[in-house]
Amino acid sequence: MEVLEATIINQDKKESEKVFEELYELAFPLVAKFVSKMGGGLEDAKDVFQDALVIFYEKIANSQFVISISQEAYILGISKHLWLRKFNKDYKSVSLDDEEKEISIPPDYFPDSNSLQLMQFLEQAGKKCMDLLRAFYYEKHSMKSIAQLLGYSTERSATVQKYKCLEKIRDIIKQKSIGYEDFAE
Amino acid sequence: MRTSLNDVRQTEQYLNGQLTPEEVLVFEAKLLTNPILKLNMLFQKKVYLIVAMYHRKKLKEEAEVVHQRLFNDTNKKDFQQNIYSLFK
Repeated sequence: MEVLEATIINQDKKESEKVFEELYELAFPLVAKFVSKMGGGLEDAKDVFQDALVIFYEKIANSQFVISISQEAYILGISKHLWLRKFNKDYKSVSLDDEEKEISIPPDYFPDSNSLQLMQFLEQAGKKCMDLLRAFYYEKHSMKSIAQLLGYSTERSATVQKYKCLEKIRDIIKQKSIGYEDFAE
Repeated sequence: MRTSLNDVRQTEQYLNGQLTPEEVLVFEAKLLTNPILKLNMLFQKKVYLIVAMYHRKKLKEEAEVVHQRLFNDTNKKDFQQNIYSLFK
């Protein structure tokens, strides 16, 4: 019985969570060691490492992504770039090997403050839609499973809901960007 | 589906390259004559950007949950000590 329950719980765990659990034990010690060597604290190490995990997870979601080094070495490489970027360090202060030099951080990973404010606002004002759109575009759920998950009777009604959400979020962004006066004219 | 939602759908398909060449021509003609449609397209692009940011934020929160679990697990004392010893 216990075994069965454990299996069910495990299946319930999100893919991302499983990946993070495995990589945390494997790669965090390396990144912590690097950050400590560079004079950073545990909080810095955690921050850099968690961003590196997110970036790595995005990369592996892309089926064309292949790496020639181990996962933990790759994550350490991302972390080095993040360290340099976040703390505005001189690139000469960190030695990068050839593989590490090839690693890139998504150019839109550090958003401007306007986009950040919008996102924080929408997180409150449009949470349901934000969650639906995220599930649809990033969690690889089919429309069928989204429909089940969110309690829509058919795939079609879930699809309509997706477009309604796109429209709703778009209009909030529009309003916030243009300002009410211009918008009404 | 109402017209405005059809526009949202077509805009998405256009941006994703999912329209046939004929549909692209028709849609681009609509963009030229309909400035609101064009403006809406710009804002729809922004929606995708914001959803991507939101997704990253949620992923980072999930990573934090894993962190807390790992650092409070009594079976992982060695791991925790190993990390703490780096920051003494």
